Amino acid sequence: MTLLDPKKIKIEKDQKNLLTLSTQNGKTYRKVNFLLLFPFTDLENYVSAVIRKGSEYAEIGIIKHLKDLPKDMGRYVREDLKLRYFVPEIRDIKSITTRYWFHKFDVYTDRGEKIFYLRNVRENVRFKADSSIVITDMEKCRYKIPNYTRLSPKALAELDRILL
Amino acid sequence: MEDEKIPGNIREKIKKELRHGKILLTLNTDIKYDGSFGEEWLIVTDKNMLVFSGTGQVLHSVRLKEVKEVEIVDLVGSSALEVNMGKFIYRIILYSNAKNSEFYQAVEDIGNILKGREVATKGRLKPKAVCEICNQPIPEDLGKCPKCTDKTKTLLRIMSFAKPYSFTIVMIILVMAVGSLFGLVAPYLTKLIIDDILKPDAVVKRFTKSEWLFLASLALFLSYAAQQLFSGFFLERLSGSLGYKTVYDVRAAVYEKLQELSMSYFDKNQTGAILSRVNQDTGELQRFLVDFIPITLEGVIMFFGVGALLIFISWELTLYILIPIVPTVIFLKWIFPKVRTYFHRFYHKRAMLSVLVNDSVSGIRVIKAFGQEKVEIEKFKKRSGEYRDAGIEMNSQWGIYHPILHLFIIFGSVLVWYIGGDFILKNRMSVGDIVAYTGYLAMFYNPIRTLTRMVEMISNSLSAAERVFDIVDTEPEIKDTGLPKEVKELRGGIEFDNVSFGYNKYKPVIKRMTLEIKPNEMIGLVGRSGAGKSTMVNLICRLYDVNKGEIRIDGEEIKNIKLADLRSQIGIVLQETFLFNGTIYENIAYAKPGSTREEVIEASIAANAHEFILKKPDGYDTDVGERGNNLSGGEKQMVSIARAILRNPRVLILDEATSSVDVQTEKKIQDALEKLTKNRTTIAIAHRLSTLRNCNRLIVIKDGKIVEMGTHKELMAKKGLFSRLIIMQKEFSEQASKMKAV
Repeated sequence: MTLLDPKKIKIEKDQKNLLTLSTQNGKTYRKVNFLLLFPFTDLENYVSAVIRKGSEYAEIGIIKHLKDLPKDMGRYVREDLKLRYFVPEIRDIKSITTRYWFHKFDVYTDRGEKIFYLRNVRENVRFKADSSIVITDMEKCRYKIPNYTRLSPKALAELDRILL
Repeated sequence: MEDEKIPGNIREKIKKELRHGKILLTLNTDIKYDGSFGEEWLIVTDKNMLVFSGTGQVLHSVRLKEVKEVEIVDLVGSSALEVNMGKFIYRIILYSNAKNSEFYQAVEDIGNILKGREVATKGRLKPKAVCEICNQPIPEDLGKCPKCTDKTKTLLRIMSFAKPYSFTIVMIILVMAVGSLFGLVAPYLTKLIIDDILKPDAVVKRFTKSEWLFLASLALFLSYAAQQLFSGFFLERLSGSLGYKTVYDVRAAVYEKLQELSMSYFDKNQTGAILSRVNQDTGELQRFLVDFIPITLEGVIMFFGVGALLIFISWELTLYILIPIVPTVIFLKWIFPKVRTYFHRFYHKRAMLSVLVNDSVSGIRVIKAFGQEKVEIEKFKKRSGEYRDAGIEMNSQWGIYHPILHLFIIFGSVLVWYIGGDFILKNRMSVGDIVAYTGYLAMFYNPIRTLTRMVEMISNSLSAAERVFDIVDTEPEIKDTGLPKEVKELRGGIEFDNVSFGYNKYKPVIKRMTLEIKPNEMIGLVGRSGAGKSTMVNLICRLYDVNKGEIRIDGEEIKNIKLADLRSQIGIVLQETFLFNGTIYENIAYAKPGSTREEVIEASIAANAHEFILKKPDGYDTDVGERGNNLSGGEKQMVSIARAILRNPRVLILDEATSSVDVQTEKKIQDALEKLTKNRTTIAIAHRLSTLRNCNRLIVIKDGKIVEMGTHKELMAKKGLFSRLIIMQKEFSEQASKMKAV
C-alpha cells in the first residue's frame, strides 16, 4: 500500500479545474481523480488517488485521513469526491406520503431539497448493519441515511411508518 | 429543436446569447456543476455547445469545430458529459441516473452533428413515456404510471381471477346471509324466554312452562348449531376453496410468466425479490381472498342486519349506543398507525434474524474453519435480543391500547343497562328486550373493529397484488417474431455483424464486433475476465438481444429463427455446473426428454462419466443432492458433459469447462470434450490457454473488442496480447512447480 504523506504532497487545481498531484517523491500527475475505498461507510478516510486509463484506474497512492491535508487541498479532494459519488444523504424528512403502492419522499439532503418516489420498500430499501439505510428510488438513484437513529423524531416517525 | 421546454426567463437569455446559430439540441439536467440538485441546460447549435445555469448564465461554451469527441463518464449514482478538445478534456455537465437515456441519445446525436451528419431519426431510444394524467415521466421498467394506476382496476383484476368460480361466490353470499340470520335468532329467543316464559304471570297455552322452557332452549341450541353450520362449516369450506383455487391460478400465471421471461428480467430483479413475489405476495392475496373478504362481507351484513333489529327493538336506545362508536372509530384511526409501527418493527426484526441464521448455516464451513463460532453466537444473540425486545414492546403497546378499546365498547353495554334500565322502570321496555339488545350490541360493535382496519388491509393486499401482476404483465424482451423461421438442422455458421451490446444498454460490453465462425469450426475465446467472452456466448444463445448490429446463424438473423429450434441445437457446458435435485440419470436425461436408458448410458460413457457412476452404490440412481452437492466438482462437470453429448447439439459452448478440477480429472474431461467437439461448431472459453490448443482459431478479446485472431501458432508469432498471456501463465506455472518442489 503506497501511502501519500499529507504533509509532503501537493494537490492543485489548474485553470481547467482539473487536479494535479505532486507526491512526496517529486513526481507530478495531471488529471488526478480521487476514489473512496469505503464509499458507504467512510467518507473521510482511505481515499485513493488515481489516474484513469481507458476503463481502468492506476493508483498513485492512498491518503489515509483527509483531515490531515492542508485546508485547501482537503477541499479540492472533497469537492472531487462529491462530484464522483452521487449518493445524496438524507438529513431530514419533510414528509412521506403513501399513495396506494408507492411512497413520495419529500426530503432535505446534503445536496438540496428533493422529491423522489420509492416503489417498493421490501425490494428497494437496504438496511445496513451500522444503522444506515440505502434507498433506491424509482429512477434508480440512491439515497443514504447515514444513521437513522439520529434523525429528528418527526422524520423517524415518518420513516418508521413505512420502513419498519 | 425542442426549445419550447425551456422556461421563459432562461429562453430569453439563451436567445440573446445565440444570436447566430440554429439550435439543434436542448437537454436539461437534474444536477448542478457543484453536485447539488438543480437544473442546468445543455444547448447544441450548429456552431457551439453551451451549458446554461438555471438562471440563464453561461457556464461553458465550446466551439464545435474544436471538439474532437463527446463521451459519457460513469460516476457513482451519476454520470458526466466530457468534451474532448484534443489537448484538454472538459467535464461540462453532470446528470443523475434518472437522465441516463436522454444523455445517452444526446451523445450519439452530438457525435452525428460533429461529423456533419443529420441527427439520426431511426433507431433512437424511445423518449421517456410521460403519464397522461399526472404528466410525470414513467420509470423505464414499469411501463405504466405508478402514481395513477387505478386501485379499483387492481381489485377488479383480482376478482377476474375469481370469475371462473362465480357459482362459489354466489353460494358464499347465500351461506353467509343464512348463517347471519340464524345468528340473529338467538338473542331474540332469549328475549322470549325472559319475557314470556320466566315471567311469573305468563299465560300458558298448550304446554306447561317447563315444557316451553325446554322447547325454547332446544330452539336456542338449534339456532346456534345452524349458525355454526352455515357461518362455520359451509362458509369456511366455500371461502377456503375459492381463495386457494384463485390463488392457485394466480401463482400458476406468475410461474408460467417467470419461465417465459428473458434473462434481463432476472438480471434486473434480485432472486430474493422474485421469490418473495411468488411466495409471500401471492400468500398475501390468499389471506385477502380467504380471510378478509368473507369477514368484511359478514361485517357489512351484520352491521346493517343487526342495526335494523336494534332500531326495531328501541330506536331511542340505538341513538345512545351510537355515542361510543364515534370515539371508537377516531381512537382506532389514531392508534393503528402507532400499533402498526410496532408490528412492522417486530416483523422486520424477525426477518433480519432469519437472514442471519440462513447466512450462518449456509456458511458454517467458513465459520468453523476460521473459528468464529463465538462471534456468530454473539451476533445471533444481539439480533435475537432485538427481536425479543420488539416483541415485548409490541405486546406492551397493544396492552395499552387494547383495554382502552375494550372500555369504549363496554361503555356502550353499560349505557344500555343504564338508559335501558330506566326505560324498564318507566315500563317502556321489558327485561327481555334489554337482554336481547345487549346480545345484538356485541354483534353490532364487532364489525366496526373489522371495518376500520379494512382500508389498511385492502391497501396491503392491493400492493401485494400489484407486485404480482407486475410479473404477469412484464413482456419478455426475447420472443419469437410474428413468423419465426423454423430451422430443424442448423449448419452452425455464426456471424457477428457490427454488434454492440451491454446488459445496461448505456454501458456497452461488446463494442461493434464483427466476426465469422464457419460451421464445424472450433473457436477459442481468450481474454481477461470481464472482457466480454461470456457475453458473446449469451448473445449466441439469444439469452439477450443485441443493442445494435446483427447476429446471423447460417445467414439468417438470429431474431428470425424460432427460439425453440435455436436453443434446442445449442449445448452448453458451464464452469458452474448446475444440477437439479434428483438422480444422476434424471440430470443427464434432462437434456433430452424421452431419451432411453441406453442413450443416457452411451452419453455417460462418451463423457467418461460412466466410470465414476459405476463406483457409486446407487449407480445412475444416485441422488445428486441439492445443487448437486453430493458429487465432486469433476463429477458434476462430467455429468454436465454427458448432458451436452446426449443433446447432440449443432453448436457447442464450453465456458471454462475444465477449470477447478485436478489434473487426472482434467485429462478425462479433455478426452470427453474432444469426442464431443467433433463435427459441430464449438466455442470454448478457457483461462488455461493450453487447453485451447485444438482450436482452429483463437480470438483474443479486450474491452469488448477483438484485438487478435488466428491459430495458436500465428498468435504466438505475432507476439501480441495472446503471447504475453501465454508467457505469463508459463512463468506462473513454473514458479508454482518450483514452490511445490521446495
